[in-house]
Amino acid sequence: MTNFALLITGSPYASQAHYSAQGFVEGVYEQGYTIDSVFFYGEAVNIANRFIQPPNDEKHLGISWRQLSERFEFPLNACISAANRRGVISLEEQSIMQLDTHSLLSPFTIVGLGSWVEAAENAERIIQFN
Amino acid sequence: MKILIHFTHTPYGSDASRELLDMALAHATFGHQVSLVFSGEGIFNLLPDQLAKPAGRKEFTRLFKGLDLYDIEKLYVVNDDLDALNLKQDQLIDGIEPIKLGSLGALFAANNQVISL
Repeated sequence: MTNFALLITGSPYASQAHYSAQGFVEGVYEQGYTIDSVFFYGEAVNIANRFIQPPNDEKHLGISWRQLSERFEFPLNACISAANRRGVISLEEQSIMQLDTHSLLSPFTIVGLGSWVEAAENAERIIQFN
Repeated sequence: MKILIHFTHTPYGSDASRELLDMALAHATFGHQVSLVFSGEGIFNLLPDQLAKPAGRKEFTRLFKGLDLYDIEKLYVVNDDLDALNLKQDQLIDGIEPIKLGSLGALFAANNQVISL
């Protein structure tokens, strides 16, 4: 049974990456395969910003990721250096950096780039959406 | 595990090249066999002495010269694209191996994973 690790690097609303990746997740489970984890890098980390407010008639991609992650039980990981540079800050980082708020959408987690490397090592296949 | 990192963007026009280099270094730290390939405008990463500072940027491209410290020894440039950009091999930093555009597929196939930005 193939297990996948997904690498998402495309911007949430300025690219097709997240729409395509979410469709791919559905397809993977329909075929009886599994996703180990999803890693967000580059512009894609903006997805984990809880202040993103798409218009009412557009899909909220962050919430869609949350639903997929809960349904299929895989983690959503965002790279710490890519995230912090773009204003995506966890509760823990808020306290370290003494900021007045955090901006991380639940259940995304902020991790080091090493987490991706481990995921890539353990997955039978990696698929990138840019 | 063999990983190929494919550079296609200019170094300072976006964050793509710098973030891709970070990715390459992370894989190398884990002992993976990492190679880099530069095509199209990605080739501009290989020019020496980029004056990033006057543009308010950190000159990360100097790192491409010292990648053997991270056991990244294979750097390839697509020859056809070099011609298209009117650049010559000797204008690039040392130690870059030229490959033909037609060999790119074989290079991809020789690696377990390919990542680009």
